[in-house]
Amino acid sequence: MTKIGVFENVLADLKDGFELINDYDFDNTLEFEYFTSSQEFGDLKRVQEFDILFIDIALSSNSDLDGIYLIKKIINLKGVKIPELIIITGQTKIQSLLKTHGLFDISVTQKPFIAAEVVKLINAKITKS
Amino acid sequence: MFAEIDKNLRNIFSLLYRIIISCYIILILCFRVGWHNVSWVNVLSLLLPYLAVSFLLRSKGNNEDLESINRSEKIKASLRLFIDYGVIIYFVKGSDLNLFHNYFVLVLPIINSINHTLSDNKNKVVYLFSIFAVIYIDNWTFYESHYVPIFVLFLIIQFFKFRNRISRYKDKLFKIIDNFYGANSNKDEMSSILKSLQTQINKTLSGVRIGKMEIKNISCFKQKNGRLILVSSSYFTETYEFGDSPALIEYLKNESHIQNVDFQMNEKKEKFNILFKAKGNYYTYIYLITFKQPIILINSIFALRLVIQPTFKHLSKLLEVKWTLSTERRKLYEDVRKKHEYVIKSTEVLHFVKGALSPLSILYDAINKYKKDENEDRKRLNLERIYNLNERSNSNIQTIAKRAQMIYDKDNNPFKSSELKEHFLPELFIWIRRRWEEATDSKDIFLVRKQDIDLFKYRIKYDEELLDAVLIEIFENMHKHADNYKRLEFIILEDKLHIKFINGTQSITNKKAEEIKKLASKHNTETRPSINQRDSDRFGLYIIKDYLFQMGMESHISLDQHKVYVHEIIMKTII
Repeated sequence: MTKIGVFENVLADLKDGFELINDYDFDNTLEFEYFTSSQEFGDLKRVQEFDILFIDIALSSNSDLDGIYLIKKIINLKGVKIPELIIITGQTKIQSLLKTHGLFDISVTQKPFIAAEVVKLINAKITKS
Repeated sequence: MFAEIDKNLRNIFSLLYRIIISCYIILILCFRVGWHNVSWVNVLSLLLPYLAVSFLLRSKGNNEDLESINRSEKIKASLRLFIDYGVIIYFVKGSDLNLFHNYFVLVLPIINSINHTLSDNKNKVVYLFSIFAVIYIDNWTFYESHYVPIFVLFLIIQFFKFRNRISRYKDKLFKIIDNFYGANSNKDEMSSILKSLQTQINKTLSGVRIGKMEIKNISCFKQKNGRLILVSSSYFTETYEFGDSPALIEYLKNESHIQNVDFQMNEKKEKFNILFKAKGNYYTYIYLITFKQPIILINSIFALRLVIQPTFKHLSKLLEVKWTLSTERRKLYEDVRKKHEYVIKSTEVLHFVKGALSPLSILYDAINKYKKDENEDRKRLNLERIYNLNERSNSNIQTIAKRAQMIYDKDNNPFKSSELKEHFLPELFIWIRRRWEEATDSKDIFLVRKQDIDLFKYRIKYDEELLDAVLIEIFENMHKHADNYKRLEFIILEDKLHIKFINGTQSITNKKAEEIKKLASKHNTETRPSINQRDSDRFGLYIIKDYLFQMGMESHISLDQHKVYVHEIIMKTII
């Protein structure tokens, strides 16, 4: 089983997409857990339970961290295996935003959710790990 | 440089003055003995050396600042005066001082003392010399009537000098203010100005013999809602409090100043102070000067009326200018902020739209997968999902449309004209001409109209900000390809004003010319503004067209076979 965490503000827009590819492209070998805010996740060290994390930039308005700061916190965790990170966002200038925060080599998929692209990204990450 | 000119002028006047004395002496000699009997050799052998020696003893110092005159200059000035009287006494000796023309030459140096470089005390020597001259020429006999004119002149010149000194001192204080106004420093200018004024005034006050006073602090206040709010002060003021500021403000409405008001500064009571108002052009600021010693009434009223209030009025004017500038800056910022907010909101809407399209994108994928699927159980599950996604997409599309509408709403869009104001045609002409001259350095400007037309008959409605943006775009376009030929035409045809921005474009290639012609024909078509808008490389032209359209104006561009480019704006006028 591949465990995937999804941080997304409007879950209703994406959930069906992830479940659809699980049914058709991964033979239900993916296990999803969803979060609308950073604190919903609980202790960040839990990230080691996951293989892949999809992270939206603009999370729920009550979220303590936005996507960028969540990523920064995760990659700075010590003594923990960091999962593969994929940003899923509607922001067009995401690359320059990542650059200003000193974040490189992070995969990005643009909204709207394009199933084929997401499948490709997940496959790439699975082979990598 | 001005000190240099001033010094030279003084030397020239000083020489002229001695030439006048010499001529005058020659004249009275002629009156006395007749010009045939004047011994010219004797006279000239004395007068010419007199002029030469006076010239050699001329002042070399910088006379702008009386305090800085050194000892040798003072000695030279006294010597010049001594020689003047020596020459005068030599020629007038033996004359009757009851005759006006004889007497007059004795007081000429007193009259000239207005120009003297000596300080006041030393200046009184001239009166001693004149008294000595009178008594000597009167053969040591005392005629009191011969001293009255000297005494009266003394009084008049003292008044004159006093006024002069006040005005010079005022200039000095004004200069302190103006110097700061000109300097573009980042430090707290106002506080530095007040501190410099305080230092200068204290320097002067320390020279006062009776009733020494020293300023502790100068503060500037403005009034708001019956309160006095500190603008700045010469020394750091952490806390301040007036006993009853509404009453003080009320009192100052009719009076120019109040002494020893109830005031605390940095938790300490300031017993000796003077509160006064100084009005700039429009706004009145209130200043408070605190002293170490009690204020001496006569000093304060003289100084306040003659020096302090005019100086601080000058400062109030400076404050007004700064205040106006900062209000303008604030207005500008508010405007930019609105635009910035709009752009951010628009970007957010775009992000939202992209996210909200996800269910639709997933729906297509789900349908495709459903069609190819042979697993019946999975198909059933998927069909349920398809119904879900269908509903979700439907509701999202409606939300997208609503959000998009927000961007288009005129009220939310700061780039849309808010109000068109009526202007007289000459006003518009002068404004565009100025912008044209700033942008192009061309003076080729024509106003074409039928004879005897009253230009003030025509009025035009426009929004200055939008029209300015249009002009910026037009000039920007011109700069791209224009050669030296540039011309601005205003043509009044019936009820319409045509403004033509014309320039040559000799340097462009034929291919480029064809491109521009194509662009022109698209721009000139009224039927496709939305398509023009989409085309980003013609964004400038789109702005021109859109903004002019908002103001009910038309825009045409053309390029003729001689490569003369014309951008024409057509405005309706109100007659």
